[in-house]
Amino acid sequence: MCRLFAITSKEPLSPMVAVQALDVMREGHDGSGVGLFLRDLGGPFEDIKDAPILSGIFSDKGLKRLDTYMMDIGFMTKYKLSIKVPKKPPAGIPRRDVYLVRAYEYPEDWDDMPTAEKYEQLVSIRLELRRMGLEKDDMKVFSFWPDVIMIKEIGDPWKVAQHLKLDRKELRARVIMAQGRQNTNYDINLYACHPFFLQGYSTMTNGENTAFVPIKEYLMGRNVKGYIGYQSDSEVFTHILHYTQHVLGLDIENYKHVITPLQDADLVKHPNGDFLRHLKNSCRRLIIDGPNCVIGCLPDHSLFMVQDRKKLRPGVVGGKPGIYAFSSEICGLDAAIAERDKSKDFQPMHLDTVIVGPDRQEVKVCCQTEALPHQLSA
Amino acid sequence: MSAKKYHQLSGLEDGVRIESRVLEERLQAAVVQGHRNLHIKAFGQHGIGGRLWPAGNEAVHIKIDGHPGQRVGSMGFANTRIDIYGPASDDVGWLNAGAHIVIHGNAANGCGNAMAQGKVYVGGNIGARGMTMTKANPRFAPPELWVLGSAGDYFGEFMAGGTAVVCGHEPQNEDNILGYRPFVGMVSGRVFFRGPHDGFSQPDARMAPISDADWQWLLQNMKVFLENIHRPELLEKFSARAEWQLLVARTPQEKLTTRRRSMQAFRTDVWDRELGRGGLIGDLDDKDRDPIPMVVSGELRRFVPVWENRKYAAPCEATCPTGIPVHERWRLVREGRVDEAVDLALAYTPFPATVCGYLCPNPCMQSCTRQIMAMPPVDITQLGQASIAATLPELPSVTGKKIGVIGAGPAGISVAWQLRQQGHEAIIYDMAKTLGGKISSVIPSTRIPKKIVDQELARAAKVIPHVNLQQNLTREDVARLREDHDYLVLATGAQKPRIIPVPGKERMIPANDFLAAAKENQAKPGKRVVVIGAGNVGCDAATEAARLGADDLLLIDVQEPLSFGKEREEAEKAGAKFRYPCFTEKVTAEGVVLNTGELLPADTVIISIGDAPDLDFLPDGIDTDRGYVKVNDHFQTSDAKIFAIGDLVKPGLLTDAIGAGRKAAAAIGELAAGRTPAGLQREMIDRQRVSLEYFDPRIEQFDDVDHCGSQCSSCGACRDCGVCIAACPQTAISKTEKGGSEYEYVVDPDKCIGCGFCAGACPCGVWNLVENEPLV
Amino acid sequence: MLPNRSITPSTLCVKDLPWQILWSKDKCTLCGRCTATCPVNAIELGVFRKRTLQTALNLTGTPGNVLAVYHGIRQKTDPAYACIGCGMCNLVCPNDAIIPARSDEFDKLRYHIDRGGQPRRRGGRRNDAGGVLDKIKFIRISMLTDPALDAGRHEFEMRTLLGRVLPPEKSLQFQQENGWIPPVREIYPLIIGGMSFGAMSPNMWEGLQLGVTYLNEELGIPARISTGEGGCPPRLLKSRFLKYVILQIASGYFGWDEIIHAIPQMKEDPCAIEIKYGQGAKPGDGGLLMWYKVNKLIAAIRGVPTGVNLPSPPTHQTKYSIEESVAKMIQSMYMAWGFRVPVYPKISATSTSLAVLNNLTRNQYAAGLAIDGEDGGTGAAYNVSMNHMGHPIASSVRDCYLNLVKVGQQNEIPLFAGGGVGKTGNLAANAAALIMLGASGIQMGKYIMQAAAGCLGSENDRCNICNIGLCPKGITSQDPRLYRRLDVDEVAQRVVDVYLSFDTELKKIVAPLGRSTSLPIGMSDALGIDDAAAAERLQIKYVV
Repeated sequence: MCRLFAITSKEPLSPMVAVQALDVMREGHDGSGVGLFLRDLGGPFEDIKDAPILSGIFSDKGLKRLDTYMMDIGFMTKYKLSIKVPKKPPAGIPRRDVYLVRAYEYPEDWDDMPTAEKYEQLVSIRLELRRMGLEKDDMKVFSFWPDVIMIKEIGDPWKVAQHLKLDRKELRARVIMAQGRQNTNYDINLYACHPFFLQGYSTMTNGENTAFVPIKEYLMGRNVKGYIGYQSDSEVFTHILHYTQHVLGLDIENYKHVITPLQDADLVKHPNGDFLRHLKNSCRRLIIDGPNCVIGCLPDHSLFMVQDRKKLRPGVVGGKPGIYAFSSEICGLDAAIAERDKSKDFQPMHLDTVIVGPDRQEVKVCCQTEALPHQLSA
Repeated sequence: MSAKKYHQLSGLEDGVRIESRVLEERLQAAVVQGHRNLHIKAFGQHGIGGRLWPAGNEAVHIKIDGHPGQRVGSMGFANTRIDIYGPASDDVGWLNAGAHIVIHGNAANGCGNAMAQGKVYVGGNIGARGMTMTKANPRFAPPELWVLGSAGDYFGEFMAGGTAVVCGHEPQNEDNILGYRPFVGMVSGRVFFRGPHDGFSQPDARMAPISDADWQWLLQNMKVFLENIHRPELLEKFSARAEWQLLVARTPQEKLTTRRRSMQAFRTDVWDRELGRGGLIGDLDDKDRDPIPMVVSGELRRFVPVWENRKYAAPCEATCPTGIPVHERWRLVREGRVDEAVDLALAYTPFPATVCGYLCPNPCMQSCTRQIMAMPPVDITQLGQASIAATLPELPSVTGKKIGVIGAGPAGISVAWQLRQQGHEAIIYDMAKTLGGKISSVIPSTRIPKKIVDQELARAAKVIPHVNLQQNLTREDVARLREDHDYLVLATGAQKPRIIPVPGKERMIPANDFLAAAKENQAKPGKRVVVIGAGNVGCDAATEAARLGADDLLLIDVQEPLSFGKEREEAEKAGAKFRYPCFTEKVTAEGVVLNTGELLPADTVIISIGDAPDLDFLPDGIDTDRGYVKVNDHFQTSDAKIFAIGDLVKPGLLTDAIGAGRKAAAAIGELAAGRTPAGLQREMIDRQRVSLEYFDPRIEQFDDVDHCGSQCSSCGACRDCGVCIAACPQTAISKTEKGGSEYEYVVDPDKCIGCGFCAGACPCGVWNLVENEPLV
Repeated sequence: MLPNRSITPSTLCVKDLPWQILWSKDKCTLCGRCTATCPVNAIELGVFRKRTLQTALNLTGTPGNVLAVYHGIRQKTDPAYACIGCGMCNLVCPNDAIIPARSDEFDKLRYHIDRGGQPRRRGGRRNDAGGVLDKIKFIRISMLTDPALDAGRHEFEMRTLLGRVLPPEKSLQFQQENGWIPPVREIYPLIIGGMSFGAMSPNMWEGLQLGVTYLNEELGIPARISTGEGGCPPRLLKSRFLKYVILQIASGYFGWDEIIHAIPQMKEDPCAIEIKYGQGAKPGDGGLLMWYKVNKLIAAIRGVPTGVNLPSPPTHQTKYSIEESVAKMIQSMYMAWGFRVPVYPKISATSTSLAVLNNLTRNQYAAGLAIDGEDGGTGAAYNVSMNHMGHPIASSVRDCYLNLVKVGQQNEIPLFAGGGVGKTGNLAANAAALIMLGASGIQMGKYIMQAAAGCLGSENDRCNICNIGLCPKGITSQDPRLYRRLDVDEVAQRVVDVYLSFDTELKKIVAPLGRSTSLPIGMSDALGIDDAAAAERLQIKYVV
């Protein structure tokens, strides 16, 4: 079971906070990889919030192809953080040329483009780059989005962080998600590494998704750009989140109703029973069968955690106004935010969705049997 | 070493987390070195504080702060006490074998999982699956889990021992302090709790009253617990006995008691109540639909046996053209009523001895069921020959109806015989000098003693007094006779010999002429005789020729000779030879010349290719077909007043002629009485119904009539053997006497199951198994 | 009996028959129960002659022989009375003295059961044991980040949807705009498929209905049952139990006037309406209820005169193409209940199933598609239809499902698979395989007849006389003398047993696969088969 850790803080933090928490929980991961998602960035990125940032790993050749491609479509580099690493990486970490974090200036002719359309285009560019990279095995692209950085690598998180010098001061973020992987894929594929990201939505999950094939088949039939990949069975959680919010326009409180709907008897008692029954029916193929703990981040920088219905992976959320963390294990949380009212720590149970909003003032617990805050219709 | 001095160990070394293995090695080493008080600054390490047996019985105290990883105190020993200053990750006290673990904060999932002894005190809430798969070993005190706050989901799953106490103080979920679906699969142990819950596994656990002893135990230990977690002030709050509840595992016996409503009760209480009496179709069908067994009697039987005595004709009777019920005669024989058996024949034929005993090829025997089974048929000739002694029944007085019969041969005598027995007057006209037609004039006396024929003709004459012989009737005569009688029966036979139209045909002597002359010993055949036509009449002619001196006898035919039986045997005995195919070209003084040119030398040539009726005398209005008179099933001609029988209608055996006479007489009788004539014939029984296994297959010939009677299977007619009564497994069959010699076998429907054993066992095929009347 | 008889081409000996009656003279007590019970009169009491030679040792004296007679059970060889192997004789025999045994070679009877020029007709099942379903294994045992689930401990929600499900976008839009949302039923995935009142005896039918009702009302298992095409007793129509019933309409429209008359008095809507276009067991052929089964009761329910043959035409006469047929029938049936009841067609599996499905995807009312494979059973069909016509269910369902996946409508039109599910007794395994191949649910017929009523039929041509009203267990007979052998309560209890054990077995299959909260429809990654061609065809894993 992978270890998950996420933190949201008023003050920008170094990703090392998360890496250290993962290190505390290291009995749960096997050094097969680490993934980091940084958003609401600080440091040099603070001033270029709107600039799309490309995150990925490139060979020198790949970097040249990237430059050619990006110039062709009119993107100019605005800021870059090229992480150069020693030629000889530590044991367990592959040799790479460049870990790239590069902010771009939109092409001039995009000036009048509505934001929504810009965002669609960003997805297209990322997918094209990904395709190009797979073709020649010279680029890996994790995200291309404003105010978002993703770093993924194979190896022990702590060692990777040292190797990449992630404690560098340019890297600061108010929202950080990190996963220490325990690999369950036969090949270690970086694209299978959590967290996953699509159009502002990101999730990471531990556990096995036994309903993966039907869910994948269903998502692929939605004709939504970006519902591809699926090197990991957990990638569908990101896409379901995207589908629920971005496509269907539903709030985060509905996410659990899509992936783990209530049973018939409970729906009868639910204040939004009719609505939820229709939702359950029409989204039936998106029901996960767990056991999964899902931690995710929404475009508005909220963080949330849900548990699957039947099994309950461990998971805890705690903190204090201004800073909260979500962790697979209490010790991870403890390590990250030692100073907090520990009696207020919350371990979500099978019906719970816990959310820390962008204001980072409290942990909101939504029980699935409660009325929905904003229901679309009666 | 001072009890107060704590040996320090850290999970971090130079700011880097050390592996769990390393911390464990250092901790164990410290204990081995004699340290009994240890202070661990944890950094996510696994399994801290368990397995401290090197300390033996000496108490070891482990204080943990920092961030302990999973399974603190796992496999802990009774010598160990662990205090965790802060929350703990998953599986605290896993497989605890006696350690006393205190968590000064929350614990995560799996708290106390699989613990068998020791205590785990939690000064906060716990996550999911706490107190699961716990044990209680009789050798040790059972394990305890004390939780200040609430338990998470799936609490106490497969709990198999120990005590859990959930105080419900400042719970994570105020509405439910036991979490979702607790105690599934719980088999042993108890849980004290305080606060609301949302149900638990009813099949596995039940609420129990808190006894005084329970309460004392709880209060005493509560105090210890609260002191351990530094919350003694809560004791008072927790001392309200009414707030506490106790839950215990159900015993296996109790688990068995969860019962569902029986289907019968459901049908009565729910199904019929909603639908109405009788359920689904109670409104459409009021018939009983309750279950029945497979073997049933009465109206529920699928099959019913029927005693079909005499419903079908026996094969002998059915195939006898005269229609004599042969098996009935054997029945009478078996019953010792030989005289009646003999007399019975006269109801059917005036010539039981002559025909059945001598001249008939006996179709009855050919069709005998025994014959079909390759057993010799019952020998009717014995009974036939005995019939010479048959006595006439008393004749009824005459009715006044007059029927003219033209022809005094077997057909004519038969119809007259039958008509008189019905009470009608029959007046016979014939050209010949004597009664009997061919029987008396043509059939050689070698075939039948003259005495027998004379005796039977005499008996017939007694019945038929009006005989006008030597009458040569013309068409006009016949037309007149038609007017003078109520009905007229034509029985003139076939008188005209057939001659082949070849040169020298005048040299051929017709067989009947020859036989008639021979009978009078007037025929004078030469030494060499050729008979053209090798049928039975030809054989008779050859035999007679031999008797009268011929010694070279040749019968020729265009096809394989049709002769059979006694006639053929006699001819062969007389030395006759048979040749075929031979086509006659001409007849000369030397003999017969074949179309091959071969000469068959002959002094006498007899032609025997059949006779044709002489139709010259037929009045107008009588249809013919190819030289024969056309009749319907009742031998009625196209003139409704005129009947025609015998060879005039179709060449046949004597018995055919006699039978025709009988049938015509029956039809006339019906018509005279103003009724539509019905057929006499019953359907023949299916021979498969007869069981011949009861009879000895090794009998080759019969000693006497009694022997014959005993071997007759009495097809279709009850032998009164009682096999059915014996065969019936239900003793459902009995015999009812109906007065006289009449009886009936009857079936008790309340006993009979319709197995058909009666039908299977019956030697006569009298019992039949038929489908029961439909119930719907 | 005439052993020395002449023979005809159809004169057979016992050896020529498919079943030989083995009878023990020693054990037989001549009680008559076997002959009284044999449904086809294949046996009778026979009289046997026994000859024994009597000779002395050393050949002294004159050797002799003795004849005796004994009685016993004899098997008839007339093709009209050939033993059907049902074994009822054995069932009623107190001494186990009699039993039918299958011939060790092809029987010769098959060449002579067309006497009179009428090809063989029969009821029962296709005479072909085995099939691809039994070969499918569930290979994806959850062993990775989560250990396999526990079928006894975990909560399971083994439900499925019957009805046209809107895509999520449309569902939300219609909810907001008060648009028409098609009715959808959440039901148990195991459905008792259509077997008509008439084909089934009253006791059998009531037993099934009673069992289904018990499951719903006492155990909370939303089992459903299709009426088949023979109408529905008015009492049931007017009861609250109607909601557990799927009313079938087929080309004969039997009983539908009674159903229409009952609509104003209905307390509940039926679960769904099934429009039967075809049946796997008699593809291209309609049903035929013979006159002797059409008694007063059947006549009342079907709305016909008694004692007449009731043929259902192979097609609905006023439908000119499948597109028209589907559109027209679905519309009409929806209208009857004010668009509150799901309506779906049922077809024979065929190489053209996909075309039907494609048509349905474009019909917003189509509530599903039931497909019946070649291994289905029937009360009466031509032997040749049953044995040689039709399409296996597995690939038909799989093709349809993958096609739905291709167009992204796999959640919108549920597929229900029938025909040979559990034909060798592996109901749950077969059902789970079909579900993972893409079926939303399963229809069973023969299985429930065997399990709930002890049907004696087999794929080895045992019994198979459902068509002549002589069912020895009383399942397919209208004769009270036979159907009263069936206890309504017992049948209902067995229905309950079957569902409960099926439910446990289904859980035992899905739990190790890590599934519990939703039926694993289309979870094809769990399936494997040791037949490479089948694996390729079904797009599942080839394992050896």
